[in-house]
Amino acid sequence: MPRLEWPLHIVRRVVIAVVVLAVVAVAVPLIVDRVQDSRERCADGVVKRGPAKECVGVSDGGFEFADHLAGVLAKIKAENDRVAAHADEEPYVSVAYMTSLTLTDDDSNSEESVRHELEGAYLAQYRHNRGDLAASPKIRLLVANTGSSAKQWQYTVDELIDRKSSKDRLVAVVGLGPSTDRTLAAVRRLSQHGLAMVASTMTATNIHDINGFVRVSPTNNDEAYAAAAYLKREHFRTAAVVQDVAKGNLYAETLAAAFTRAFPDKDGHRLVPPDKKTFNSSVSSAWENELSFIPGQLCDKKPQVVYFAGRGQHLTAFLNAIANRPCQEQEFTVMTGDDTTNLTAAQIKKAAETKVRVLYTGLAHPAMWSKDEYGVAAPSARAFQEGGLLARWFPNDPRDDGQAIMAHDSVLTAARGIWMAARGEKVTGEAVGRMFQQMDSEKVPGASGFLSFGNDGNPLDKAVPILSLDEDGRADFVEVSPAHGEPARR
Amino acid sequence: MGLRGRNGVISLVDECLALPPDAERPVVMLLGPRGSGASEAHSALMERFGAEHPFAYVSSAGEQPLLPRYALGLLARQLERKLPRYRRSGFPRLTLGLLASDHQLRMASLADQRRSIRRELDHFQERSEERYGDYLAAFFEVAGSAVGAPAGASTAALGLLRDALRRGHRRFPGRKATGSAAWYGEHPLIRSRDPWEALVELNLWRHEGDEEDQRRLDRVLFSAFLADLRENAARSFMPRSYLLLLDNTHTQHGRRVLDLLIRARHDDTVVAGAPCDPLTVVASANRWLPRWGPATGDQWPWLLRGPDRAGLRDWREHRPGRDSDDTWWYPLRLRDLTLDEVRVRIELELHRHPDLAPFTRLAPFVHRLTGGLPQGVGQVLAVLRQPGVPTEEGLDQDRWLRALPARALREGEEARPLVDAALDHLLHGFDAPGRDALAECAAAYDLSVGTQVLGRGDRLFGEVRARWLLSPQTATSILHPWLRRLLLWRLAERPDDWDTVHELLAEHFQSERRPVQEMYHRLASRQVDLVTEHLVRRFPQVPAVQWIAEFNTISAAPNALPSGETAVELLAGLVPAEPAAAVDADSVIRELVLTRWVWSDPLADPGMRLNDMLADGFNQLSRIRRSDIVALFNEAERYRHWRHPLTSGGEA
Repeated sequence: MPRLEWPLHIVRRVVIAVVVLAVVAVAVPLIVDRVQDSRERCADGVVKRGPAKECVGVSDGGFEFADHLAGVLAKIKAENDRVAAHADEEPYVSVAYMTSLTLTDDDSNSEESVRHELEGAYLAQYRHNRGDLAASPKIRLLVANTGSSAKQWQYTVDELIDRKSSKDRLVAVVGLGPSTDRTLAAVRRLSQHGLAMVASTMTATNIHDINGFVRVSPTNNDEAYAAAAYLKREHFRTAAVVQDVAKGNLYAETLAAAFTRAFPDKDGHRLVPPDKKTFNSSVSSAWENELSFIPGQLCDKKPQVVYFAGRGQHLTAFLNAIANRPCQEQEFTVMTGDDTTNLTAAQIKKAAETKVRVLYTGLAHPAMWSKDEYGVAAPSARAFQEGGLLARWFPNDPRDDGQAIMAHDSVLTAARGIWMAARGEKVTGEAVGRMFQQMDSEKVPGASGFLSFGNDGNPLDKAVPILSLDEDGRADFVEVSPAHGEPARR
Repeated sequence: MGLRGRNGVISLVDECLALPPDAERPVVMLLGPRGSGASEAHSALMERFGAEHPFAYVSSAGEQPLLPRYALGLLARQLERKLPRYRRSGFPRLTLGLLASDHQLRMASLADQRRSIRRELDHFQERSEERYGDYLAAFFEVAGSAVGAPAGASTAALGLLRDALRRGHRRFPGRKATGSAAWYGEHPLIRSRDPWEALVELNLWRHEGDEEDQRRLDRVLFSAFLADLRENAARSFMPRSYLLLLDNTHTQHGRRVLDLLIRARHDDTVVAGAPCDPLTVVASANRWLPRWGPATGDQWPWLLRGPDRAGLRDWREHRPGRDSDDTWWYPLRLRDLTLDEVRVRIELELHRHPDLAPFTRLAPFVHRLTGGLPQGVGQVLAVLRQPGVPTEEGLDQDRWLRALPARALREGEEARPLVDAALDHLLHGFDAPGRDALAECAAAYDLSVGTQVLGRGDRLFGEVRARWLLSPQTATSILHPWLRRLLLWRLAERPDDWDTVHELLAEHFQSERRPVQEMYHRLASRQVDLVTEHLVRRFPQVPAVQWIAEFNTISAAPNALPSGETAVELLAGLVPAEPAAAVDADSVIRELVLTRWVWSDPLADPGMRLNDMLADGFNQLSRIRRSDIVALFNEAERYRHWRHPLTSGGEA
C-alpha cells in the first residue's frame, strides 16, 4: 500500500471539515424542511398548501378549517375524544369525511352545503355511537379537506392512507366531494389502498365499478330520466339542452347525455333545436357572454322547457340571461340537476327574482318522508324535521338543500358496513367495502331512502325528489320521481 | 544565535530528513576540539528541525555512565513524542526487549519460565505504567540526567527538548509489549526460535551471562530499536526520518552507543539485506575515536570533510565501499569562525546583550586573539560584557585588553581569570603537570618539535592531536592559536622556564641549522641584537620577498612583555635609550623587528596602532636597498592599508 505523507493534522482538519460539511449538507436541508414544515403546519396532519396557503389534510375535529365550521367540528371533536377515551371498553374504527372545506369562487358547492354535510355526518356518527342505531365498533369521524377544487387531494389522500395503520384505524372514506376528475383520481387511489368509500353527492354516471366504492346519491342518469319522466307527465313536449362543456365537468356531461337519450320519444317529445347549446365555464372571460347569447336562440326555437346541464352557480347567470330574453312573451321553464342544492340561500333568492320557473332533481329533501312514509326510515327522517336532533344542535340553519341528508346517509352506510364487517375477526377497509354488496337484506335506513347497492356501486331503485324554487327562494318538494319503476321500500 | 559557519550541517540534515524512509543516510560526525561548536550545532539542529520532526538528544558527557539500554530507553522515549503532523511512533520490540531483560525472572525451569514469562512481563509493564505512566518513562527517571541539554542551548531549543520529554509521556496505558515477541524468535543472534524462550534467553544474558552475553543483548536491543523505527516509518502519516543527536560520543559509553548503532545498522542493512533504518544521526566527538585506527588517520579510509560543503552528494562520492562499516561515517571537521562570522556573531549577541555595542569594532581583535574558536569568542565576549571595561577606543582600552587573559570571567556565581576558565575547558582532563608541560611545548611553533626537544614524548603530542587541538589549516603540527596563546600566557608567568624553553629550542634549531626558527626563539627570549644582526646580514643576501618571509616568521615570536602597557609603551621600553646615530639598515631593521614583534601579539597591540610604523619602516628599508625594492614597497603598502585576513591562517 502506498505510504501517505500528508500532514496528519491537516488531514484531520480536512476530514473533520468534510464530515462537518457532509453533516451540514444533510442537516441543513432537513432543518430547512423542518422549519418550512413547521411554518407550513396548521395542526397535526394539516398543512398549508398551494398558492393560497390553504390548510389541507386530516383532522379529528380539533382544527377549524373555516370559521363557519367551528360549531359542528367542536361536536365531532368531542365525540371523537369520548370514543377514544372509552377505547378500552368499546373498540373503534375511523371514518373520514372528505370534501373541499376551504372554498373559493372556483368551487361549485357553497359554504352552507359543506357545513350541512358535516352536520349530517355528525348526526350519523352520533346515532351509530350512542343514538337509536347504537352499534359496535364505535366510529371516530375524521374530517379531511382536499382544498379548493380538490387541488390538494394527493396530500390529503396520503394522510388518509397513513391513518389506516395508525391508532385511528381508518377503514372508510365518505363524502368525497363533487364529480370531478380530481375526486375520481382520489377515489381510485383510496380504492387501491383498500379503503371503503361512500360518495354522498357524487352523481356522475360514469363513476362506477370501483372496488369498495358505493354512492348514496342517485346517478345523473337517474336524475335525467326522473326529470324526463316528470316533464312528460306534466305534458311538456319540446325541450332544449344547454350544457357546460368545461373539461372535467363529468356532472354536466353525463346529465346532458342522459337527458338527450331520455326525453325524445315516439310520442312526440323532442328536442328543439336538436343540437345542444353549449358554454364553457372554464373560460372565465367568455362563459357569461356565451350564456347571454343563448336565450335569443331559444326565442327562435321556442322550447317549452330548457334542460340546463351545468353547475348551480352558472344556473343563476343563465336565469338572469333568460329573464332578459328578447321574447318576453315567451314563457320558459328551466329544469336542471341536483347541483342547484349547492347554491346559497342568497343565490337561490337571486334566481327566484328572475321569475323564471325552475325545477330540479334534488338528491333528497326532508319532505320526502311526509309524502312517502314507507320510502324513508322514520327515525332518520325525524332527525331532519323541525324539532329534530339537527334542529336542536344547529338551530337557524335551514337544511332544505338535502346535503345534510346525503352526508348522513353516506356515514350511516359506512357505519352499517363496519357493523356487518365486525362480525368477522377484524374490521378492514376491504371487508367494509365487501359488505356494501351484501345490504339487500340489511338495507341502510337512510333519510333519503332505504339504501342497498348494485355491483357497480350505484344505489338500487333510488328515489329522486323533484323540487321547485318558490318565489321566496326556497326549495319546494314537488314529488318523488323514480328513474325506473318504483322507488325502494322498506 | 544561529549556527555561524555550520550551514552545511543544517542543509545536510535537511537533505537526510527528506530522503525516503529506507534510503541510506550517513552517521554525521561533528569533529573538533572542545569549544568548536558541536553542542551549539546540536542546539541549532534541535531548534531548526525539532518542532517538525521527531528528535532525540542524549549527551554521554555526564558523570554517570550511560549504559546502552538506558540510552536506548531515553532515545525511544523522546522519539515517540506526538507531533501534530504525524501519528505517534511506537517501540514495542525495544520495550519488550528492555522489559524481558529488566529484572531477573526467578523460575525453576525453562519450561516454567516459558509458561509464565508473558504474564510476568505484562504484570511488570502494568506496574511501570501505574508508576511512571509508561514503561519508557521509567528510563527517564533513572537516566534523565544524561539527556541534559547541549551547552549554550538557546531558549527555543531547551523548550523543544523539554517538550520532547514531557510529551513522550502517555496518559493511558499502552498496548501490551508482549505482542511483538515473535520478532525475538526470529533474530539471528538468539539461539531459541520460540519467542518466549528467546525472551527468557535475553533475561539470562543480562542476569547470568558473561560480558559477551551482555554485548549480544545490547546488539539485539539496538536491532529491535532500528526494527521498530523501520516499521514506524513504513506506515502512513509517519515521519520519513528520525533525528538522533548524540553529543560527546568520544566518552567510553558514548563510543559504545555509537559502535552498537553502526553495528546494528550494518548487520541489518548490509549483512541481512533489510531496508536501511530511517535514522538521521548527528553525533559529535571532541576526540579521535579509537575504532578509526591511529589518530594520524592513515588507516581510516575517510579524509575529514569541511562543514561548509557537506551534503549527501559529497558523502556518496567519498564514502568507502558498503562492505565495510566505515561506509556509514561522514566525518565533518568543524572549522573556526571567520572574521565576518565573528562580526555577525557579535552583532547577533547585541539582541541579548546590548552592552556589547561599544565593542563591535573589536571583532578583528577578538578574531586574531581566539583564532575564531567559537567557545573562545564566546568567552572573550563574556569578559567584555562585564562592568568596568573601558568602552572608548584608546590607550585605556588597549591597556585593559593587554591583560585580557587575566581578566575575570563570570560563570554563574563563580568568577575566575579567563585564562583559567578557557584552559580548563579546552584541556578538560589534563592534570596540572600535564598542562605545564604542554605550556612549555607550546613555546615551539611546531608542537611536535616542542615535545621532542623538551622530552615530553609522543604521548602528549598524541593526546593533543586526538583532541583535535592542532590547527587543521597547516601541514605542520601547530597548536590552535587560542590555546597556544593561553598556554604561552601561562608560561610567561614562569619567566625562568620561558627563557629556558626558548633557549633549548633555539639551540635545537641552531644545531639543526634552521636559523629562522632559531631566531624566532631568540627573539622570544628578548635577544634582539642577535636577531637584528641576523636579519641585517640576510638583507643583502636574499631576494626581498624571501627576506620579508623570514622577517615575518621571526617577528611572530611570542613575547613575555609586561602586561600593563600599551603597544607604544612596550615599544618605548624596548628601543635603546640612545637613538641611532644614523639611519642605516641596522637601526631600521632593529626597529622593524621590535615593532612587528609587539604588533604580532593581539594582546600587545589590539588596535593595530603600529601599522603605520611598520609601513614607515619598510619605506625606509626600500631607500636603503638599491634594487629589488618592489616587495618592500608592497609590504609598506600592506601595513598602511591593513586589511585583516578572514581566517587566522591568513597571517602567521
